[in-house]
Amino acid sequence: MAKTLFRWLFVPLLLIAAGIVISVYTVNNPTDSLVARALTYDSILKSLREHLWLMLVSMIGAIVVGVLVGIMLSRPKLYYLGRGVENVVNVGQTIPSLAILALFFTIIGLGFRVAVFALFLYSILPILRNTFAGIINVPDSIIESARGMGMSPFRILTLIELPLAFPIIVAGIRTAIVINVGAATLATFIAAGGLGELIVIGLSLRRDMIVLTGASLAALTAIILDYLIGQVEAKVVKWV
Amino acid sequence: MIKIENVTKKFPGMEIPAVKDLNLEIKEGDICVLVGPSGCGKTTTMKMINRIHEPTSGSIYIDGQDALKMNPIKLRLDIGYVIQEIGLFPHMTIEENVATVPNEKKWPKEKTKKKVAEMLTLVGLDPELHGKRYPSELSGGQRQRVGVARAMATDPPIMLMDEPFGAVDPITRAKLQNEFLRIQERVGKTIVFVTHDIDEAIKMGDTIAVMRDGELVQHASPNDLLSAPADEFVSSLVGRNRSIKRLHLIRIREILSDLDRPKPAKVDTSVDDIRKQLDESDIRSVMVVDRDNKLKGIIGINDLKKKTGEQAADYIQELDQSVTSDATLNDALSVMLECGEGYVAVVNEDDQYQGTITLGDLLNVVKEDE
Amino acid sequence: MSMKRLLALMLMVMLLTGSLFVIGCEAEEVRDDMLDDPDEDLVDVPEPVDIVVTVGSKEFTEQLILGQIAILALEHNGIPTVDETGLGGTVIAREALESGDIDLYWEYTGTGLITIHGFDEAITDPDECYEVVSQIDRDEYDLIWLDYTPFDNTYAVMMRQDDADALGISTISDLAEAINEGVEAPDPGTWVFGSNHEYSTRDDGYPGLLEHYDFAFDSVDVMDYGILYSALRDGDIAASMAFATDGRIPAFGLVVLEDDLQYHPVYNCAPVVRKEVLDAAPQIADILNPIAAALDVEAMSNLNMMVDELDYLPSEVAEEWLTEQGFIQ
Repeated sequence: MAKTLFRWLFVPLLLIAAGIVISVYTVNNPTDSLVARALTYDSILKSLREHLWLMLVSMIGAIVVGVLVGIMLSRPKLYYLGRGVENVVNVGQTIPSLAILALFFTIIGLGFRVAVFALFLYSILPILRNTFAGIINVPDSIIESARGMGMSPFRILTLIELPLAFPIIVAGIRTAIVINVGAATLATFIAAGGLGELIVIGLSLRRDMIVLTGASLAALTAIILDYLIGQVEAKVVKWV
Repeated sequence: MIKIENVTKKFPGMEIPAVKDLNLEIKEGDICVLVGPSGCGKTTTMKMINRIHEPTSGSIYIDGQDALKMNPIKLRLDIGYVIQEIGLFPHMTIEENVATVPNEKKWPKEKTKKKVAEMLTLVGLDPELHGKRYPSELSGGQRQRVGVARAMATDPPIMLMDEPFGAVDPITRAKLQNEFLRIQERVGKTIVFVTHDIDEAIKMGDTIAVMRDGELVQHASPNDLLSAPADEFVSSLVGRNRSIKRLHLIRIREILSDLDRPKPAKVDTSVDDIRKQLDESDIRSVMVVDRDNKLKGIIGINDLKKKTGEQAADYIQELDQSVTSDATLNDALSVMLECGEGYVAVVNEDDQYQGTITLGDLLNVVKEDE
Repeated sequence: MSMKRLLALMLMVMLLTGSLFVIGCEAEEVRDDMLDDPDEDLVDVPEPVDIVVTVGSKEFTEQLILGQIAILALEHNGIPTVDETGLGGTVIAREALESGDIDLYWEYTGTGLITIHGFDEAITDPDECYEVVSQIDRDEYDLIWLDYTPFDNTYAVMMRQDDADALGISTISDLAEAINEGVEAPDPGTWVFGSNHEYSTRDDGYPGLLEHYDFAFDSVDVMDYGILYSALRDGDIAASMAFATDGRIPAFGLVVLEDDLQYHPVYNCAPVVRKEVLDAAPQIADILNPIAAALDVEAMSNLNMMVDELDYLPSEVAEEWLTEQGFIQ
């Protein structure tokens, strides 16, 4: 047990260690006073904390709402609506995340909540689409034999459709994470902080060290989240 | 047991009804095979019995009760259901698949577990070996067996089977058919069986309902269907070579006891004795069994020319195929044609030698018939 | 969504996208510039020179306008030009000048001091800054700084005009005092300072501002420069950094507070010319010096506003202003 837990956490711990090493190194070896001011343990932790909150809140919201709406749209009565929504989602996906942020800035205003809402809406798209597609693509023969054996629609959904759609839903969630981690670095443009703040400060001051610290921490965050979700998926999906 | 009365089914958007004013009665313990070309309404008819499709008009009675007034979920829980694509749940193990209906009926865990093992054994699978596997890890034939085991797990009195042996090769299909008939002899379910294959219908059915364009053309026993087809359509369906089709109706064990066959040799019989036995009769080969009467192979007259040992065991040629005594004569014929031989060895379930059937025996049967 | 909203949105998207690439500069909307044909019906054509002046600029509104002003003025006085305006950031424009790819562009004294010559300490006196920078360039690079403008596109602190009037604030000292005395903040209800990323961390930015005036805001919201002005207008922040000549200050009813304790470095602007070119056509100085002298904060803010808010082309506003001021007919 301890051994499997270790194997499970080995990669994330390694990545976290890498993040710590990068942070400690850059904080202790600033190239000049600007870097020293921009990169302190406080500023890095604040940006990281803001970044994680941005991502976690928007991702959890997106997973809950995306999966629920995806399920609803996959019901036979809403199937055609679902097809329509799928198209809208595909178009929505092509709007740059910066534009979504800008849209919500002009409509609602500034700050963390606006950024979370924009990220949430943006991350919902792949999750919703994949949930819908995953359920719709469960073979008819499987659904029919489940019906024929006397399973209720709800039991079919929970015992057959969702488990079979699970790998596709997870793929959607992983896509959303990748999108989210990129878009979250833009949240700083509307005063929502996050690791993007380090990146943009570094860019505007032409201090690569600040940019690299922010960017590598953002990348590590995304890789760790993706890895953990991949592990969960491998644990759950044993039948392929 | 099942009574279909004036049932019509019209799908939305379709001009012509899929099933027209159908009347059919199926007796308890019978296998009724619905047969006909695709689009004839046979599958629709079957699926109205468990209300996967709702009839547009008419009534269906099961055990005297109006099925259309029952809760469809409760109705289905007591009707075994096997469809053409089998529809095993790929994300569940074989055990979990077979436990589907017991779980829906909220059986206690222990009871379910026992029943699952029993069902897997019944269809010839090893619960220990196969139970924990996923459907993708089984062969086509094994999956068909699981489909049958799953449908029968709670001993439903009625079973609906839509081409359940459709997706496997002919030899495996014959084997599955025979096994299923053997099981049916024990359990005596009322079965509605859909197929487009008239040979399968003749072999499996106690009665055969021939359908065309949504209407019932003839409902009769296989024998009556062969000897007195109701019209041109039925006689073209059963084909001209009805005598050969009759081979489907006769099981090997029915003729095996009347045949006079040389005793099989034992593995430790001396070569000289075998040579003597062959010389004294006009046969050219002899079957060889071990001490438990299990079939080991065959020795032909030519094999003895090469001197390789003293005992029969040293000369044995292995056999590619054998048939069980509850297979039909048609199965025996298939195996002979497949192997390119004029005979086939007959064994029981434990692989013990029962006798040999030759092409001549089959010819005699067909001749008697005419 | 109304049409106006949609337009605002599209503008915002362009602003944000653009600012990704020119962060640190005073990011403005980038547009292709059109070069007007030189006037052919000029009356008083001076003696021709056998030199062509390549005029460059950085890539934001004010620079594009200044570039067009130089081009139109030179052409009007018979000096042919090539338009190479819109070159990107400081580094690119400066390198182009040093290598001779361009002959002239407008640079800011503070930028010359800190960005180009790498001084750590800012100079807050305009003359002193100009002297230091122009001397280095003359002696070491053969580049001549012509006269500088009265306008000083420096960092500034701004508020909404209404709030400043209501609270009696006209200088940064007034603001510091108000905050230190616990005066209730205007919208959004606390003393939130808006800043772009660069100013929030720069030595001569926000950290030094607090030190110099000895006060502290309740919090800082760091955001894109492009949305600072509308965020202030909409009450999302109480005060904000600005660039003194941004056209949105007058347009949005905002006001720049006087830097009464001379904290911010000076960023007066002057044409920088290659010595070689100026020697060949010394009249360039005579042409551009009076023009620079006429460019005060009000004039520059208005020119910027006409391009940013009213969608005129830089060449259009340059021509109109030069004509209005009597530099060209």
